[in-house]
Amino acid sequence: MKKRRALLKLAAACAASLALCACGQDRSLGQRAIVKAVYLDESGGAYHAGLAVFLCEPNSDTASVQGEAKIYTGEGASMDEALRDAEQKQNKTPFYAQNELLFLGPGALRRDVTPYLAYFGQENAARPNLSVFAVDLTQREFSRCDDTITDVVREGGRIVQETALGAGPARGIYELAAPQGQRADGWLPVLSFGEDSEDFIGVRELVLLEDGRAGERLEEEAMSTALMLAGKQDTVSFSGSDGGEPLAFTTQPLTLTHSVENTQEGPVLTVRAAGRLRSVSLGAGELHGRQAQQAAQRVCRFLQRTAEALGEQTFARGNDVFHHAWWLRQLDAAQVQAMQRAGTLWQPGRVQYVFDLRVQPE
Amino acid sequence: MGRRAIDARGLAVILGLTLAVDLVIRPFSQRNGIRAQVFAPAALLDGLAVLALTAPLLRALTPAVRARMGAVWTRGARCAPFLLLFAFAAGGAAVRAEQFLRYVSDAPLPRVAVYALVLAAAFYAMRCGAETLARVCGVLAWLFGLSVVILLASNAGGMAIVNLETEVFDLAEWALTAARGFSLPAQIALFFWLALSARDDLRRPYRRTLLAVILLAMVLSVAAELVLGSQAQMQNQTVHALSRLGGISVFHRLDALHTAAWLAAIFAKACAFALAARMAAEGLLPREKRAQASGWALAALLVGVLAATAVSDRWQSRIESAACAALLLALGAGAFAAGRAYEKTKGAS
Repeated sequence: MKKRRALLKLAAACAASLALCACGQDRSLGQRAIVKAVYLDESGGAYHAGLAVFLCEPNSDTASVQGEAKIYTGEGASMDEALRDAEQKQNKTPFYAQNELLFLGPGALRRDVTPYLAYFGQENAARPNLSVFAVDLTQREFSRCDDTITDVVREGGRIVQETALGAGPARGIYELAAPQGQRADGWLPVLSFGEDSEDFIGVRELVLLEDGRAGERLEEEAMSTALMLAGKQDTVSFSGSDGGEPLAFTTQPLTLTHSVENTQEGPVLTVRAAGRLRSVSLGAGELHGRQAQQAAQRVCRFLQRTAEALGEQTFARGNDVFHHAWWLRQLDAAQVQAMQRAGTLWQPGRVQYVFDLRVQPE
Repeated sequence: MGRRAIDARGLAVILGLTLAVDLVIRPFSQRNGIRAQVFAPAALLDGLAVLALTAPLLRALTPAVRARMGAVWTRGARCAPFLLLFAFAAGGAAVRAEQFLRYVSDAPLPRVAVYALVLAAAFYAMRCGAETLARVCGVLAWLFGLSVVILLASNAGGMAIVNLETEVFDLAEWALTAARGFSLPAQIALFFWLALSARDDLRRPYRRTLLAVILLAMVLSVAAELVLGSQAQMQNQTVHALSRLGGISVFHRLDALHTAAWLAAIFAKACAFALAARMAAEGLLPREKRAQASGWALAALLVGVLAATAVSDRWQSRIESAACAALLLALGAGAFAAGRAYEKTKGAS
């Protein structure tokens, strides 16, 4: 008798668990539109939205990007309206839980990216690891990317995951968040497309944000050095020319150290990147021995010039992209805050870059 | 439902798990808004304050005193305020579990279904004893600990020291934050209530558990700020946001696992309070009716859930703190009296 009652109770509990959502819900993944990338732009006072939607076959794996992709676009007077307009261009319920990519178009970059970041940065509005990329395509050009969007999403996803593990150029939505009332500062990776937006090139440059607006672009050695200073990458490689002479080098992982000391003009931060060069060449094949050591000196000077140029573009203008002020504050927070208010903090001499690269011993 | 004494380790695990789950599933109406530089020391100060306030009571509750008090305090009208507090706290746990489940779900369950689920689990826990609860809490504590370790490990790649907000340290701000954030959770009253039936020395497990919870609070707040920067303060469920970031090798969407472990823990919290409520109800009822104690306790739990839905998180915390403080004071007075009586009999013999 007791056993039967126990069994009955167990059966009742199991029956009750059938009321849980998985058994009651009849909206399968096949009936949802899986949005993998959101595009936003503005022009002429209206917001333009684009959704890269992947159709899920019932037996395909939604974590990997397979299946057809379609791009739906919409317009509206606000971001909400524009996105909803785009959602309603197809008949399935949108599913945003796998959306890791936000593309901002040229109009948004020209005006101000802060509202976009604030919109997606609200709690639970999007995945916390939503990454923001700048694209140079207008909405019309984006809507023609049906063929390449799979590649774009795959590459974007790969960059996001790479960055999550410690090294990659993606910028998370929470990294770009600005305090209330201020505009976004920092930098964004740019997704470059070929001439007719049919070819997808990848991330080849960064764009600096100053006061929410896109500013200068950083390419090649400037981009590599910027990523290293931002802690997103620990090697620098370059292949091109330095003042007319060819130069190519690759470094091993570098260690970045910051040290602050007080001088007569106030605190000075020394950013030091030390490590070994994996290979260096001046155009005629890889160098070894003494020639390599001399070339290493040249590489150090080259990188120092690049870093100082970066400093002029960012820190000297009050755009503290690499969080140098944080390090300066560790020495004397009150003094640095006072200098920040007075505007005397942002001087190019405040930050010094030292590169100490050696050649690998034979 | 034998009256076997629960051991110190089991009590410590129950206390630790029920306190730790409140760190990861935070109240929904109280945004943190405090940077880690101030929050971590304030949490330390508050935790040490709770320890300092309750440790004398624990010292007074020697095993001999507890043996004397056990008979008196677990029978009769003295159980009524305990029943009310535990029912209210269980209701609070159920409400927060429902809110959190709704927050993380794409298609939420209806509210009544979640409350029914929590109450069903609580009813089942009531029929088991404290020993079973301790064993289950032990397993869930391992899962919870694993979840925290994976959380920290998977976010290690995204941590950057420049994300910490460092301002000039202001002692007044720290003291004010600590004072505003101080609360005496009902889990402390639960611990002392269950301790009355225990016979081991509880001082060291209690201290260690509280210190571990304090450490967890400090580590979570610092880790959240290292990853999210100033956005950590804007989030309501910071640790949940943290669980959706990061990854370990090829595993990138671990938030479902974390959420499952945390929901199991908050169910365990509701069950712990339910069990204590059943023990209190048993004490209130006359001998013939003791077998129906579970039913009465379930009714009390239902009232507790209704009450918890009616008050905001902030008032829930205040009511719990006030009730817990009052009950601990009463227990202290009882312990003092029992101690004096014990000394007298010891002196006489």
